[in-house]
Amino acid sequence: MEIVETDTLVIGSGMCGSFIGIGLRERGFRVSLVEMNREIGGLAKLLRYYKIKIEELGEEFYPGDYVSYLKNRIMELGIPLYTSTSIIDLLQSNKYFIAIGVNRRGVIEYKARRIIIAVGGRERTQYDLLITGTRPAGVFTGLLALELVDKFHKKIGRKGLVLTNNDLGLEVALRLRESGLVIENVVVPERSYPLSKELLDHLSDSDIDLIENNTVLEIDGLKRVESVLLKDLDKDETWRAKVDTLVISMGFLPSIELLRGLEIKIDYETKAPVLTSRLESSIPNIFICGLAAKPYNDLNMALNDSIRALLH
Amino acid sequence: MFIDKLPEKADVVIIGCGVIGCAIARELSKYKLNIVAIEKEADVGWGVTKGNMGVVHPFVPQFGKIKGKMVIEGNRKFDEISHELDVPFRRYGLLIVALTFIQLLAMIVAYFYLKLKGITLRWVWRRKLREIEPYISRKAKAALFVPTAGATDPVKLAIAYAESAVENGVKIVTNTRVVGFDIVDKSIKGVITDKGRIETNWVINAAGVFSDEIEKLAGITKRKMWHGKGVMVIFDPILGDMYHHFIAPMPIKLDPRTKGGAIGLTVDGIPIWGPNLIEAKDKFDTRVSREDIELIIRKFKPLLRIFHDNWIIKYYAGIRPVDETSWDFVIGPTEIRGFINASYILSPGLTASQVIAEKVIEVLESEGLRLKAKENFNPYRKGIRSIRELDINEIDKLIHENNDYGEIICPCNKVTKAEIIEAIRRGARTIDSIKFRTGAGMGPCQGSRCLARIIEILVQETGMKLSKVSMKGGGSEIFLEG
Repeated sequence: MEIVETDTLVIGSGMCGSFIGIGLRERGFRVSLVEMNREIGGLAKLLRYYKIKIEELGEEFYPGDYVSYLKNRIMELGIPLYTSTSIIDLLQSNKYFIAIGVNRRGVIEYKARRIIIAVGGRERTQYDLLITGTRPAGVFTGLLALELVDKFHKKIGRKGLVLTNNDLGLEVALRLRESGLVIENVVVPERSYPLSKELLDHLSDSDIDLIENNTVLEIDGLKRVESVLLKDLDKDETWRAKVDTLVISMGFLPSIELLRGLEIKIDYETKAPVLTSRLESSIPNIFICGLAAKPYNDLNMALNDSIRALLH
Repeated sequence: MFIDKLPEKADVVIIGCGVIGCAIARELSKYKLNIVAIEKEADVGWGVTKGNMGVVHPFVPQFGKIKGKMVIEGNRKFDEISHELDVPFRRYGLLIVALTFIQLLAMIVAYFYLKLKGITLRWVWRRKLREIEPYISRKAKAALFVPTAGATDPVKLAIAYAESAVENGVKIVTNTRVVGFDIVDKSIKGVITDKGRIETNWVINAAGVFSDEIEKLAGITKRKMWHGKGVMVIFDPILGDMYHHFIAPMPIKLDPRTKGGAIGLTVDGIPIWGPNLIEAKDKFDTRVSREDIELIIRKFKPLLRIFHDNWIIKYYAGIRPVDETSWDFVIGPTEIRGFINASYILSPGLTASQVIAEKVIEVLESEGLRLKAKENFNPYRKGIRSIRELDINEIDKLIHENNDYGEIICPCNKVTKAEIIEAIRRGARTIDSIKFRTGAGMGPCQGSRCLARIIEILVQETGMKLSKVSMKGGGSEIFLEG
């Protein structure tokens, strides 16, 4: 069993964890990064159009450029990075925390005085949204849909509908359209979400209709989606869309599976850990940032909130 | 593990590979017989079994019925069966709680009645109840504690029976539908399927919600099936610490049809509430409505002082196959010689599965099938090893033996690549088959973080075409052409 000692261990080297790790290293802290995937960058690896805006740098990045920036900085600063390694448990001794990691070589014990949990979130599913009816194939969360299309270069359906309340959903619709899936509609359950003008223009160039103030109530179809039942919230009427694919991109809930071992306090109403304004959890010296901190619909907001709280 | 080609002959043909068909298959494999089990789905346990809540019942109130007798024996046998088959099983115990005075009065009657029937139970007063269940409603006056109630994983149990049966020589043919019978002089001579005919003198109808259709194919029409839908709601595992037993409200009036559901825990400690009982439109009507969910929450929430019912991660429904006149199991011979029923098995069929299987053997023997015990029957079967229950030294050792155990694929449930490969090696060919064997995709994110990796592994391990990858067999493909 390998043992690694460090001051600050950042668990999760996605869009947020990497940036925070780099920032802390720049400020002189001894930092190590852990990442469960083969490469860092998290969700940014899946995205192409969504602009990542870092207030601190006053810069906008395309997702690919942002990942390159992170990789370069980690290398330049010589931050120890453990990829393909999952943290499965957190323990506490009197002097430090122990994070139990596993990878293909065995178990690694990370001993750290400070832990930053940046494990990201999970997208809301149809169950989180209480969309009822049947449970056939053909229902995907937005980023899963992108991952499938990216990885396998295959269409995940013929005719689909995207339900979203954020820019990420617009990117999902565009990218699925490019993969050959006919996006019938993008449905937005409320009016006046702050959606990016650029992406909206791109959407109308691709002949995808945006329907505001409608939502999905039910899924129909035994083996594969056959139709979905929608509700027009203005007219208070229901209507049916004949599609074989429903993609849901309705924001994120924090991943909390790692918080159970140490019994870090959770707010059961918001489904998020209880944190101070500095993002410190109920256990001193454990910080939680990014999508793991609270429910977010927007990645940039999660990222900039965390940078402000942890690096200023 | 499973085969696609239908054999030409068998001594006994079992129709339907739910938990009942598989239990019968395994029980029959103790004898020198050539046994074939036929399943219309791509895997075992996908009908009534899958819609089950996983409760190992201590009793049902209908003591006089077949199910009432078999459930008690089944509960008693569960330690041995779960041990032989390496299937998860935990005796959480059941608390039947009185919140009102009327319920309390009913409970006094119930206490003596159940004692009389020989059920192990204890009376628990309010203070003790609050000690063992800190979040119990402040209105709770007392409870009956039945320690033998437990939980298992229904689909894993069906798979375990099936794997043990195959290990002992049974052939399980999946993706095959029975379409008729060869009957000469009111005796079974063969079974006709969409993949051809199989010659046999003995047929066991374990077709669950399709039992009535199988009976009709043999010309047996005296029973009528009622389809009783039950909805279950699953909550985030983080709420698993809020109670530690099954908790049910004390019924004032006994509904002869249902035990009324409960607040429960899956065998992995995840809160699961339900089921209700409503009439399904047909055999395929597993729809869940918002009203179903609200009804379940409204019914059970008063049992607890606090519960965060906003934290639902999944809901589903199952169909109970009900013999409309008896509301009981139908086990035994029929007017067609060689056609044996193990059908209309509703709850508590899961608990009673082993007892039902043993009963079917008795029926076969008394109907004239000659049984000769095998000397080399192996009762033991091993489940798929996981890192979840291990300490770090054991995990380290396991990874050194097989480094796929170091690669976590499902972060919600800590399922590794090794388990997924092992599930595929044991016959899983769909995403649901992998899910039911390993737990991958059953957590709060419902597979949104692991599905792509699972597809990748499935394709790598089997050489399967991407266009053939499906959630639950033909028609539920993930990628669509054209």
